[in-house]
Formats: sequence, structure tokens, C-alpha cells
Amino acid sequence: MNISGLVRKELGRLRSDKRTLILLFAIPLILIIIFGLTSGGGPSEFFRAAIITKDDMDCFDNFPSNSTEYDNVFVSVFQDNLTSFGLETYYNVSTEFAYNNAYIECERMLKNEIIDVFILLPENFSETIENDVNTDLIYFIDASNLQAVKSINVSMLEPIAQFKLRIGKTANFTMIIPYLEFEVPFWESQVLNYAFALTIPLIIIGTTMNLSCLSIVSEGPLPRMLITPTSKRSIILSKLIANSLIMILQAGEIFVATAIFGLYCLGSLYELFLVFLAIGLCGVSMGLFISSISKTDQQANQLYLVFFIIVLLFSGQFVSVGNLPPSMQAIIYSFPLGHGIPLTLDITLKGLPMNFALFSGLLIISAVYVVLAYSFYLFKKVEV
Amino acid sequence: MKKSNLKDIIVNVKNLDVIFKKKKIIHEVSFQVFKGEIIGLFGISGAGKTTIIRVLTCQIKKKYWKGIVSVTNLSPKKKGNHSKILRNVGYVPQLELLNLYYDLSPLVNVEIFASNYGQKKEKARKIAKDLFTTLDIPEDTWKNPLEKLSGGEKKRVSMAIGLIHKPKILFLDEPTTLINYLN
Repeated sequence: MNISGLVRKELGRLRSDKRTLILLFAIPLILIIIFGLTSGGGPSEFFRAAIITKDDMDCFDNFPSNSTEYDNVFVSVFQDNLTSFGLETYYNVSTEFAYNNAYIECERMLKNEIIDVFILLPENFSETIENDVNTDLIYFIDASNLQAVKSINVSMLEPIAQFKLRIGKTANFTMIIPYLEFEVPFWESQVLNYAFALTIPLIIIGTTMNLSCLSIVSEGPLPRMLITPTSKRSIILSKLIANSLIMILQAGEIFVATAIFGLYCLGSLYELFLVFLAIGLCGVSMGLFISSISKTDQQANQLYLVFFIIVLLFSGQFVSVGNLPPSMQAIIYSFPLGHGIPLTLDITLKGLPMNFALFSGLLIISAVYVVLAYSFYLFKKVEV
Repeated sequence: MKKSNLKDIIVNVKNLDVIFKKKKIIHEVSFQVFKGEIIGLFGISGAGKTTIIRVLTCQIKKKYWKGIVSVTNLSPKKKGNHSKILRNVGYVPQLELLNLYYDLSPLVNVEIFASNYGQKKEKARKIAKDLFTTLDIPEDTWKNPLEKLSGGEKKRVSMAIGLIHKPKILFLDEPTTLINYLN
């Protein structure tokens, strides 16, 4: 087999098509920049807040002291330059009547979008802190804005952290955040990291499948190659090698770009990169398969779109895989994202070591698609 | 040329039938080609000239044809012979777009095909330059993408590719299309 010459040919052709080559590397970068810039380095939005403190009111709990010192500290935290919150106003109420008026005023401001959230400090705010008892922090959000509900939950971590620093106490706060184990710190890029496990494998699959899906069907002189001592096996292998080399560069680019835009990875970066490569290999193999079964470029493009949608739908992100019947689970696990997303999630947010079964699954999927691509190409009628 | 010497027969075709979907495309064709001989196949469009070349260049599966065929004393019926036959065969197709990578230069095109015959890059490049000179392909075009060359120049590069490995047999499928009379 004269693989090296064929590989050089593949790389030479890619290199000569500068526009495609630029796009190959620009598309993942653009997508990551969009994800990175929409979220920035910290919380995704800046919220305006109001605070009502009832700390001066009588405390009805059985606490040994009646303190009021900590609500002022909490307010002062908001008055300083927080990256996620700005304080519109605050109300220090000492009677129920004053509280009702403050509440009505805050509700009005919330409705009129003057503020995004108002926070209520309960009567026992200082006492609970002083006595190391869990403190309730109640905040009112416009519930119709689902994005704000989610973001404020995360953004609240910043003033709480600042407050803890000022008072020198850490033990008496219970932060109730959904999916606490997957929490991305507020100073990291929120949107990028929460969406990372789905979007990055999807970008890799999409770009690598696109890279190879026309490689057989659009190469006019390929049938002529078969009137030389070259075998179909060599042709498929050379395409796999050449496209995989490009894929490695693409995966590297994606890896670096996500790091620049605030990748938060608790686990091994090396293992994460290996997962990227395995996902990319699946994309290349699926592209080769598409190319080998297509008769025209148009067919290959249509099939690419079909496969991309199927891969996305069977990623396990839109349905709970565990609740599905075994046959449906098998279908999901026969597509790469059913393995790639849990692997990425485990490594980045949970900090777990690479799951070898899932990783092997990716390699098996890519091997199966290469064999299928070869088999279809072997029986394809190719004549000059 | 001693035509009586059987050892000099390089292509032997006897009672060749080619059948696609129960339709006989080629019917009882027989001919022999001796070393150093140039023969031409003449016929109306669809007569089956290209199909005969396809049989001889191992492109048509054995289930579609019958008869005795040998190329350089090897039968295309045996799959194991294909590689050996194709090493000895050069081929220039009617449409050069089937033979050339338009986005690459003439030199690179030749190198690609030469590597399929196990030739090293340097050797391929030397042979290519000799062939380009013989075929009168202007030197200033050797490193340009093929898409910038004229139709006739592309055709000659296509011919060079057919000759790169110094084949014992050269099949030319309507090779003079687009070549002007001066060339």
C-alpha cells in the first residue's frame, strides 16, 4: 500500500483549497467566540437589586442575643462595586407597616423593570449569623424571566462570598443552588461551561463530519486511482489518516479556544483532549460513511444534515436515557454524543476520571463507521 | 515484428462477451496485440470500445464478462492479478477531469500517481519533467494549479500521468480530444 503518497495527496488537496481550509478552522473558533463572548468571564448579566432589611424588627426566635449589625454589612457589600449586582435602593424597616410599604414599592419597581430582584433580610438575619445558625436569604425575582431566575441564582454567590469575607464567617450559610455538584464558580464563564458538554462535542462532530463527508464522492479522479495498483482499502485508509490529522488540529484549536474563553475543568485536561479526539474520530468516520454511500455531492450534503440532526436528537440531552426502553437506549448509545456528552460532563464539571467504557464506546463507533464506509465503497460501482 | 511468436502477445482477447442486466454489450470479440504494436478500436458511439478497455484494466467484475482475456499473460478474472496487471498498464481517459486534480499543479498530480506505483518523489519529479518537456507542456505552468492551464495542456498532463510508470501497455481512450493539430 502506498499510503504516504495518498495521504500527501489528501493533505495537498486540502491545502490548495484555502477557503475551505480557513472555514474548517474558523467555524469552530467563531462558534466558541460566540459562546465565550456572550457569557464573558463572569456572570452573564448585571442585575439591579433592592434590599429590604427587617433586621431591626423584634426577633421572635429564641436567640441569646438581639443583634442588628450584619444587615448593614450586607447592604454595604451591594453598595460597593460588585460585578454581578448594583444596588438601586434599600429599606431598613422596623414596623410591619413600613415593611408593607417597602414591599409594595419594590414590587412596583420589579414590575417596571427598574430592578431585577429584591432581597429580603429576615428579622433574625444578624442573630442567625452570630449564632452560626442557617440564615434565610429570600429574594424575589420576576418569574416570567426564566433566564434571569437561573442567572440570579448563580450571581447571588458573589455578594454572599463578599459578605462572608467581610464578616469573617463562613460556616453559617447554606447555599441552596440546583445541581450544586455541577456548580461553575461565579467568576468562570457561566454559559460556556454549563453548555460546554453539549455544544463542544456537537461542534466537533459537526465540523469533522463536514470535513470528510465529501471526501470520496466529490473526488473526480478517484476512480482513475483504481486503475493503478492502489486498493480501495488504501484509499479509505489514506482519507481516514489525512482527515484525522486535520481533525487533531481542529480539536486542538477548539481546546485552546475554550480555554481562552474560560473553560472550567475540574478533571484532567489531557483526558478531556483525548475525549475530543475520540469524538472527532467518530465525526470523521461518519463523514467517510456518508461519502461512501452517496452518489452525488448534493446527496452527501443532505445526508450530512440528516446525520447531524439524528446525532443531536440521540445525544441523550433531550430525553432522559434511563427512562427509555432498552432498545431505544441502544440506539442512543450507538451514536457518539450518547457517550461524548457524559464523558465531557464527568471530566469538566464533576472532575471524575475518564470513564473507560464510554471512551471505548466512542472508539468502537468510529471503527464501525470506518468498516461500513469501506464495505460500501468496496461494493460501489466505480468506473472511469 | 514477429507476430507468429506467441510469447510476444501482450494482450489476448478471445470470444469476449460483456453482459449487463441480461443485455449483451460486447459480443464475441477477439483480437491480439503484440509487443510494440499500436492498434485502434473503431466503432459507433455505444459500440463498447471503452467497455473493452474497462475489462482489460480490471474495472469490470468477472461476473459481468466471459471469454479468455489476458493482459501481460495475466487474466483479469483473478483478483490477485489485478495489482500486477495494473502495474504494467497506463491509461489516459477521454475526459481528463477524471484523471487530474485541478486544484493541484501538474508536478504534484504526477507525483500523486507515481507514488501509487511505489516511485519516490524525486524520481517521479525527474520523470515528470522529462515527460512534460517531451509533451511540450510549458515549464512556467508546471507549478501552477491545473485549473489555470488550457484544455490541451491539461490533456497532455493527463497523458504524462498515463506514462509516468513506463507501462508496457498504454490505453488511450480518445486521447486527441481538445489537442490542436500543431501538437
